[in-house]
Amino acid sequence: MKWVCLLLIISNFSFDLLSSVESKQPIAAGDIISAKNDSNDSKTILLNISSGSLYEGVFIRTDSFYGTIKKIMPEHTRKGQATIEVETASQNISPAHFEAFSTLNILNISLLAELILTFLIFYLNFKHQSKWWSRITLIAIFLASLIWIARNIFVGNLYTYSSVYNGSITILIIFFALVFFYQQLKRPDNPFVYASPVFWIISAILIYKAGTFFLFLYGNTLEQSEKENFFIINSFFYIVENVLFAVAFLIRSKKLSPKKIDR
Amino acid sequence: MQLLQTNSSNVSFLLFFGTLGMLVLTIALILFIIFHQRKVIRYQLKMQEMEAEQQKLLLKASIKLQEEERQRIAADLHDDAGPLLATARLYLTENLVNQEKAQQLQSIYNAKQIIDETIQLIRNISHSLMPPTLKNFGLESAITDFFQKINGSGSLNSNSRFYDYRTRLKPEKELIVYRIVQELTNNVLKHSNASFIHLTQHNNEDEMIIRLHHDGRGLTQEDFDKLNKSNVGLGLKNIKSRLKVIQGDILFEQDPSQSFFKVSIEVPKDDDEK
Repeated sequence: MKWVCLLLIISNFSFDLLSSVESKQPIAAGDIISAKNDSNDSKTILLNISSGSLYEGVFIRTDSFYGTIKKIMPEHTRKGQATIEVETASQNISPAHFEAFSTLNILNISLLAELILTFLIFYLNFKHQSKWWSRITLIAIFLASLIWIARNIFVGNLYTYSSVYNGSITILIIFFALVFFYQQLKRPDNPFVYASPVFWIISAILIYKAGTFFLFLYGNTLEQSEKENFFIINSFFYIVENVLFAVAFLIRSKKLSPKKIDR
Repeated sequence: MQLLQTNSSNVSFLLFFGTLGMLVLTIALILFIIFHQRKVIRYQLKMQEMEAEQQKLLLKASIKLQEEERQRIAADLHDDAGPLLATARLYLTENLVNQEKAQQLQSIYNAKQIIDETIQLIRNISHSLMPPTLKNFGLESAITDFFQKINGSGSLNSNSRFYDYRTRLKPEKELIVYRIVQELTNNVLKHSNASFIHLTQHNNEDEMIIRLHHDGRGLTQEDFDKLNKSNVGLGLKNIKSRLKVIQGDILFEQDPSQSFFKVSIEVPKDDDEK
């Protein structure tokens, strides 16, 4: 169990590192041909794409402006050219060289790794307690992975973020955590639940997932400036999760004598 | 524009309070589990302590009963067998050889009579320790014999019926069951003022059930449990400790018509007793 948790920590950390590297590598580049003001924070831009591909949700910038692609209009898209709607705070957009950046591909891959490892933790825990729940966890790993593959490879692509899919996975993880706690309440053989590393590992996962549930569900609808403010929540819960993981690693799994309890 | 700003502020509001709510709920859940488990442990500890206290009481009762039994045997030997043997000794003094033959014969006859009486007395003491009927013929005969003796006294109507006792229990188990029945019957005789006492035996696959009915004043399970936890009710504690040895159970009931009381003893059977 601790090994899977360690893998989860390493995977999270590696994907964070990879994400910071990837954020400096443009996924597409080209030139802005013309721009039209739709409203104060929305512009329609005609682009000439010289390398890569553009996707909705991708960050785009030139020397004088930056914004997020809200919509790609297929009816106005020709070979090597694209018309996009951009959400931006910049007022004047002049023809210039642009670059597009996105780390959503890393985020999506990291979510797959995270869901497999998290469900594996639940499976390893349920394996000794309930055959029924361990089977359900295995089915959940299989189905969630299958949906991920279908959504990111066959139907969509790695550069799109689905809050519905990620929200559902989070609800499933929270549900399994609640099942774990319910089983702990029912089990009389291990009264000191907090003396076991599993308790801290599952608590860490539960706190992180519950804390960032609304953030990942509604984060996409926030404005760019607010997004940065609210992502502090993610950093905070990420730290809490890792602190609790550290507690799990520091705790020695032992059954304490009931007499040691403070009466 | 205003609509967009309102939507954005709504999302921020939902995000902030939603996250806060989830955090509070999660922490509350984890704390609840920790405190609930501590509560369960405290309860288990209390139960263990109560059980230990009960064991102590049972042990005390058992030791006390053993001491009383020893005292009774000592008193029987000292007060009855002692004087009898001393009297026999008086008849058989050295002076006997100097006496006339008729007187000698009379003294020897008297001494023989006293020694016979002593033998009978010691046999009675021995039988009270281990009834020979139980040892030789089993629980059914011993209980039937015991109930016939009570019936013979004429104080109350008593009978017993064994429906299926083809395979005997182990001797030590039979003795324990016999002692329990003896103790319960003695209690009925002493305290209940009953006009009848009736014992039946039934066999289940895994256990033997003995039921004792009487129409006097009796105990309910609640009374039995209460007496077991108190310092009185030595005999009942002894029943409980004997049952513990054979892992049996006892149930005191009053029938719905409230006209008689029923005591059921459940004796689990080993594989070779089935």
